[in-house]
Amino acid sequence: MDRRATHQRSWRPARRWRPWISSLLGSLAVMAGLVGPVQPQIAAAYQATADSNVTAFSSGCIGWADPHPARMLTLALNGMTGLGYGVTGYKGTAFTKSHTLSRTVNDWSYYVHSHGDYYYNPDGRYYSGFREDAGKCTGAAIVYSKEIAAQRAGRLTNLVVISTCHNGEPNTTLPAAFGIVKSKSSTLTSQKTRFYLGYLGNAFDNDEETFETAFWDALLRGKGVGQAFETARLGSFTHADFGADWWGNYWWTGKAGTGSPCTNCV
Amino acid sequence: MSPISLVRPVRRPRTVLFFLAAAGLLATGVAGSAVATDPYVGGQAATRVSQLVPNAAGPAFERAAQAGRSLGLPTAARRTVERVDDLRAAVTFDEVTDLDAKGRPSAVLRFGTDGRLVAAVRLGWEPGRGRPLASDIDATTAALGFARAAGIEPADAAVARDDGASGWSVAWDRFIDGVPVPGDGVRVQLWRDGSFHSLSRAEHELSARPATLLEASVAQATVTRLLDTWIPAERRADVRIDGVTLAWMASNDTFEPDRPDAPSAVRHLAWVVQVRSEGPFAEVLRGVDVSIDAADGSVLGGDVLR
Repeated sequence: MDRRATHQRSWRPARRWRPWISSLLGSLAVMAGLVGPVQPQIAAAYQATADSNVTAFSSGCIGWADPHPARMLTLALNGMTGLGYGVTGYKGTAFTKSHTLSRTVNDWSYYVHSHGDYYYNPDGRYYSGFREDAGKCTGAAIVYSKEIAAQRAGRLTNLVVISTCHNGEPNTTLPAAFGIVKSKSSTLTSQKTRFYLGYLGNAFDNDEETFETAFWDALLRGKGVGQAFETARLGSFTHADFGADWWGNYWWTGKAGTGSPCTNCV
Repeated sequence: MSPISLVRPVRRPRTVLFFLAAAGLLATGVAGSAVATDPYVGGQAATRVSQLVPNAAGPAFERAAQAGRSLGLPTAARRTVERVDDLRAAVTFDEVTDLDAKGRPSAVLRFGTDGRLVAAVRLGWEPGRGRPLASDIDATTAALGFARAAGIEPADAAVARDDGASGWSVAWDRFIDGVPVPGDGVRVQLWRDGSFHSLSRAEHELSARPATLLEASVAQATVTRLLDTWIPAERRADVRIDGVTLAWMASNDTFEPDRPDAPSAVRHLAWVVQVRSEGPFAEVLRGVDVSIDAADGSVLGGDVLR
């Protein structure tokens, strides 16, 4: 039995906050800690994880301190919190492969910003994945989709945002690892409360941040995942070949749990 | 002239400013001035949404109805409209949402404060049931028709991209005297059968063109020196300059976190030096674009490919 089924029964709609409070708490938490974990709110029934690889883009590794990874982590934390997930953020030495694989069993939503690709595995096959942080400049372990799939064993996921290169391409194996079929549903009969977002090809940070800022903002305005994706895609992107793709249910709200899949449908 | 206006300075409750100032102290150890001067705090709410007064809502609805007819959008059963200040992009627009008879959103149309259409999207996964377009020429022709129907006459050459099941994307990038303004221009997305999916346009303000342009070789030499400083000696050979192009770019905080969190609204003429990695260092950094101000040789900003 999926032990998270009990969470569904215990879940209650989140209390209405002043809109800036959850954002403020998230930013305070991120700025207060050099490494994770970062908890913007007390964990709720629907556990979620947000990982960001900051070390590989720090002055110790590349010569300058790139502000994008921490900022995008804050965006994800605030977005997921606003959607009702009990999210914890991890970066630096706290974002390791073992931590990710340990938490994924109970994650209803997952975000990662890191180096991603279609990687060769020692078993002789290629799998989609991303690199841990672990406080390493080089030699960071790869988290392969097959390892996530083995841990989750088909458990339901709600919202998955893979903020890396290549993991929105047609051959990506990550959606299936999170139990999301690579199909686009525009009805309420299929993949009702699931959505996977990834990028095509080599995606630069500025474009990813432009996209994600608009995506999370639309979700927090109650626009639903499909509309959030569409409006994020209207942005001004520096690289003409920037692209993103999705699978799941277009009309889902993005909110935690298996409840109401759609706020605007009758 | 830009179809979109700069946002007004942000007003935040004093309690919020207090906490943000405290957060700045936690992060930097000193009281920074960025909170007071930067209208967008990275990672925080990107938009400020307000209701339009009735006198302004009516014209917005009329514009939406007209644009919707031109683009072949479904007839709306009713509409809503909001004034949106996008703090990160530094633009303000009126966002009209078309709703169907069941109250479900069917389209979104955005108008600049001057009333011009800046974006439209037909909502829903509706790949189109007609015969697929046969070529990029057909896609360009169809996209041009929608742009013109919306009152937009794209300039320069179109680039059409086949996005598979998602349809076609046709873009007219903006050029000034042959120099690109990345991110600016008109983009039309079509379903595979050529029906309308979305349209967007952007046109940023440009700084004055410098009287004397820095030589590309000077920009390249500047970046070479930076790479010698940035990249560990044992990895330096894995990193090379792959190209140098002139473009109108935003200044940003990629290399200087103390700068404003949002990219500048005004674009500056810059040499964009493309750096790419290979070997083990590419595990860390696939590449980085460094923008060197073409007027004074300073580092304007950059972009990271991880």
